[in-house]
Amino acid sequence: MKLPLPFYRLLHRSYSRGSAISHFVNLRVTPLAWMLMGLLGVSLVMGGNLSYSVVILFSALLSGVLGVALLWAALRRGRVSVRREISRRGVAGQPLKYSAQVKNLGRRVLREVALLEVGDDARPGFKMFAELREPGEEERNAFDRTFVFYRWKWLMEKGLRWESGEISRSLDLDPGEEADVRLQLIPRRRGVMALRDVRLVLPDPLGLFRNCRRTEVDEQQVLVYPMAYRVPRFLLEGGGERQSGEEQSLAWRGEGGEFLGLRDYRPGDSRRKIHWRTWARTGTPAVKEDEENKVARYGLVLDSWVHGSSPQKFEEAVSVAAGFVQSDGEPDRLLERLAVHGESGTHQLPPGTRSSQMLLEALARVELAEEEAYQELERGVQAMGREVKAVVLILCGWSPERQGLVDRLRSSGVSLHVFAIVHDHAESLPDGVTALREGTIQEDLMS
Amino acid sequence: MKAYETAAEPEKALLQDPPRFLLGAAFLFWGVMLDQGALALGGALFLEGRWFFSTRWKVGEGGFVKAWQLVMLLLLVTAIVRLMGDEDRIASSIGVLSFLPVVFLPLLLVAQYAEDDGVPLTTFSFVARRKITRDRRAGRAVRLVPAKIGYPYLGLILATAGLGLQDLKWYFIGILFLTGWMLASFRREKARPWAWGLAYLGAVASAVMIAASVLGLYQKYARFVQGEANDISRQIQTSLGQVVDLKLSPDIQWRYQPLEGARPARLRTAVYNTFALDRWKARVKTAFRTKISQERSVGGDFEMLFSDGVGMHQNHVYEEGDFLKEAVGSGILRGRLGESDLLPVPTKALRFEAVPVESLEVNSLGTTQVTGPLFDSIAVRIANGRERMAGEQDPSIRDLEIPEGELEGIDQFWFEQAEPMPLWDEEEMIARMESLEMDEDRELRLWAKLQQVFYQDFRYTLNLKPKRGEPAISFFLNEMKAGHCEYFASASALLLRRAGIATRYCVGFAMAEKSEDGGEWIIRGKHAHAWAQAYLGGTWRLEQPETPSKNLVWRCRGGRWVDIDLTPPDWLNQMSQSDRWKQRLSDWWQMLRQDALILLGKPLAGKAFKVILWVLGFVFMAWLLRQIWRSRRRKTGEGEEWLERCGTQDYFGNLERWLAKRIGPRPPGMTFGDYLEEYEAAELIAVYHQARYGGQQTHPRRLHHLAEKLKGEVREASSNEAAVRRG
Repeated sequence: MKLPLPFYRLLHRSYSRGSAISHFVNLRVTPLAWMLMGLLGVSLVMGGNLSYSVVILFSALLSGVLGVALLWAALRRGRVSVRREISRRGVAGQPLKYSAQVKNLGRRVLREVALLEVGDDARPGFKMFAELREPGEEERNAFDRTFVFYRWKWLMEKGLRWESGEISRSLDLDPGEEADVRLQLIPRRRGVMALRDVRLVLPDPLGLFRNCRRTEVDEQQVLVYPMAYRVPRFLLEGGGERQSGEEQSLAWRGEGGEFLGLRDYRPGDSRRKIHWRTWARTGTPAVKEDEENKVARYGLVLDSWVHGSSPQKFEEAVSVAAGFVQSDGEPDRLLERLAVHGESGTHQLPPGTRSSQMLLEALARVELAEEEAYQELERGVQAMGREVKAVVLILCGWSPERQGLVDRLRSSGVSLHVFAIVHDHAESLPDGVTALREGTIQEDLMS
Repeated sequence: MKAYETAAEPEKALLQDPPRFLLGAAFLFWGVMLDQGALALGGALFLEGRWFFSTRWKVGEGGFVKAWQLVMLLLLVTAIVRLMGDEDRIASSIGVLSFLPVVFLPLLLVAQYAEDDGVPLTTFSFVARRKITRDRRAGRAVRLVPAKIGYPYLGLILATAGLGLQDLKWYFIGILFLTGWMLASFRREKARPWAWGLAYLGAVASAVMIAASVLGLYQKYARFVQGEANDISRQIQTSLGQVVDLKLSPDIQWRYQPLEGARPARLRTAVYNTFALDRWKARVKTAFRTKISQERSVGGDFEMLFSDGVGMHQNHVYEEGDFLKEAVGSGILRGRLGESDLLPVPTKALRFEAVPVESLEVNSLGTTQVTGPLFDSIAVRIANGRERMAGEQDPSIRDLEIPEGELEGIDQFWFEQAEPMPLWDEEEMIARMESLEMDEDRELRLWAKLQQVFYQDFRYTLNLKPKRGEPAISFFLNEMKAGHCEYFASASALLLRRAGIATRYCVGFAMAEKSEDGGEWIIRGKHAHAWAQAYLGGTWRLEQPETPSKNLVWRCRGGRWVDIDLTPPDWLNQMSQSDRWKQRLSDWWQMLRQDALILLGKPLAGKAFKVILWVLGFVFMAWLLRQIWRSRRRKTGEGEEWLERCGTQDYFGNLERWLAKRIGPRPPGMTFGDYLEEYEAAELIAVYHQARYGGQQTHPRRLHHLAEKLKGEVREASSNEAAVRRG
């Protein structure tokens, strides 16, 4: 159902304001206070008739408790500066713990205060709200389709870069005193996360309301790696087979048992490959890479043009790509290059290293392409195809342009593994293209 | 790096569990306030049992929904039982609400003994449940938000404990203590206890001020709108002088089954003698009261009727000699009663036979009261005599009083009827009484005249439009000339009093509807009626009161009480007719319920019913307990990982620590099988998986053997490795 834009504008404005108010209130009102307010309502209904009950006393007590707590919290003041000590990297979905040094800049003692990193503003812009569709929105009832509140909620959830963790432990700070506290946030999406606002939380003694004062804190950025799907081993063949001819030397690395170097231990590594001396010296488990004598090299190509598709599919494609980058921990294969649609050149691991960190960083920063550039991508992939055993191509949907790209690459002799993020199985895909349905991508990868 | 999860991550539960003993204490408080001690004790034991028993159940979304549906069913049944056919709907609603902690107890117990981390909020909404089902079908991620419901339940207990007219002081003390406990238990870090105490003290002071203000305002409002406290035996609220459209209930209040002789035209519930501020009251000063012997005094103006034996099924009479008096008719009265309620009786009631109540009482005006019925529906066999009941006392000077505001209007009415009355002066009136010869012919003539005027010039209506500020009866007599039975009865009483005839105001029921089978008279709320009773043919004289007093009192003796009902006889035709089918259904249910309760009140049937009920209850409970017992699990530590738990007590915990020292710790996320894949430990891994996932135990000796085998392999591999490093 297509509704007029002014109506969407009105909805967007009201939802946006509603979300802002909700955020403001939820930051300051604890669940206990909500519960007591609910109980106050119930007690007023039950005790409305004073001829039949004395519940009014309970209502009065709840009103007193809520009133005193609200007033107490509203009157609290405090001025502090905060300096974070935070890692520059994080992983989407995994809590990021860090410490912060807080200093009381005021002239009064601060009792029972805490810090809270205020989360990201996830409210979508009007264009996104008006144009994007929640998956399965057409199956919702007429009311939901008209007022699209579920779309708003979906966009809020998808747009959230990170959310606050719990409030830090309580502190008592004398004037000028400094203290360390542990904070936590949960990155939700890959990319660069800008941390700007740490609040000083001043609760009332009953623990119902909180006054949240701004602190003096510098902005800091954290690069968040994408979440990754698990990719089964069989999707990329290892060193069991060899190519012949000229390309062999390019597609394989490690021939002749050369020592490639050391790398960090990863779950699944054989105990026999642990380099004990390095472990003893550094305290971190490390494994040797010189015991395999053949490593298959792969390239990864990521489609970033979502015209006729959705940004959500692109994010899914990034996560699938991250899964392939991570899965190269197998000793007989190496995912070495990454090409992204719309970006000139390819990301390539430096010779002698197997660490996938560089490619993950590239994936963390990758953006949507503004215009279609498949011909340029095709040239890049063909050049890559000559240097690697095979290329994994991850597409954000399926379209005639993408069909043409795949056909041309195959006809030019590039060995391709093609994955396309699709809405459901109704989208017909040619043989040799693996469909990954939104919502069941993990299952589709494993099946 | 964590892999993508397609299923939604578990949400952290809202709120937390109340501390040990808080819920139990609150439930006991509820029991004490509502006089449900035994119930509360049982509930408290179940609630607190979770701290002492480690048995838990995996409930899941479906289980919570079932528990919620059970709660809704219980609520429905409680509401139907309490609300159907009850006279006072507000009191019944209060009764239902006050039982909410018991109704919600199954859900709370399920939540308390569940392994699950809180009750999903979707449990409480059918619409939300449908939505998540649809979302799941569409493959959309669903976020279930669980909540711990212990604290909301605690709040419900505290609120409902104040329902009903409880002791204000003890209720306040109780909620202060329990609310303080609740707030204190919510604090994670017990910092600033003085600030907490000060804040709570401030909250209590605010509460006292708020409550005092509200109660003060309410008392002012109540005094303004309702007048002083209402006691049905002492006072009756009327609709005199108010602009109202009366809607009388079609519900069955009583049923009267005539057995012998003529049936009475009316059943009288209460008698009143003082009219003031448009309201009738029963006022009996000690000086006018018959002295009540200590054994029969039940407080106030009421005294017990004489009874012939002990137990719940004895006969009761107004005068001792009436046990053997010959009855001229009899009938059975069936209906619902409160713990202490007025009984509608024929004015010639002689004996009450086999009444399943604690006691029957009567006051000096003849109002009969029942205390402590065995069930809230009873059947009373009433034998009627030849004369009016002996309980009614002869008139006193109070039965001649007329409110000052009504005097002019009443005089005007009598003047227009060509019956001018002498000037009203209380002292002169009293002086006149000494020489007053009561002329019964005059009294009968005045009665007949009033009847003629009311029947011809007045009409019956339930739609009242009196003028505010005008005396209600005067306005009715001289201007409105229309009203309902309260107007006719009050006007009759005041007019006759003005004529020197002692008169009282009676309320009760008219018997106007026969049941379809003709065996009973159905008495509904809309048959409620008011009339006057006058003392005709008596003589006034000054006499010594029954109670010691210096002053002599005026009494009228030697006459007889006569019912004077001057409401136009077509009043019953003007009652609204309710929907026939709905009314039949409601009648059927009310009669069924009454008959069932009456049957249960009979000794044999009651016992048989109780036995059946107990047997069925026992079988059901046995089945339920068996189901619950079979689905039990051992309690796991909250938020505790399995390995952390077994690390100290399980063999594998010790083995893993041993292995960690030699081959490195098992990385997070790695299975035990992958960890040991380089060793010949397939059997041990299988045993591990059985213990971990299948809940099966292995004999310790076998486990020890497998573990030692593995240790041997590890030692061997380590020594080989060391040799390689040295070489």
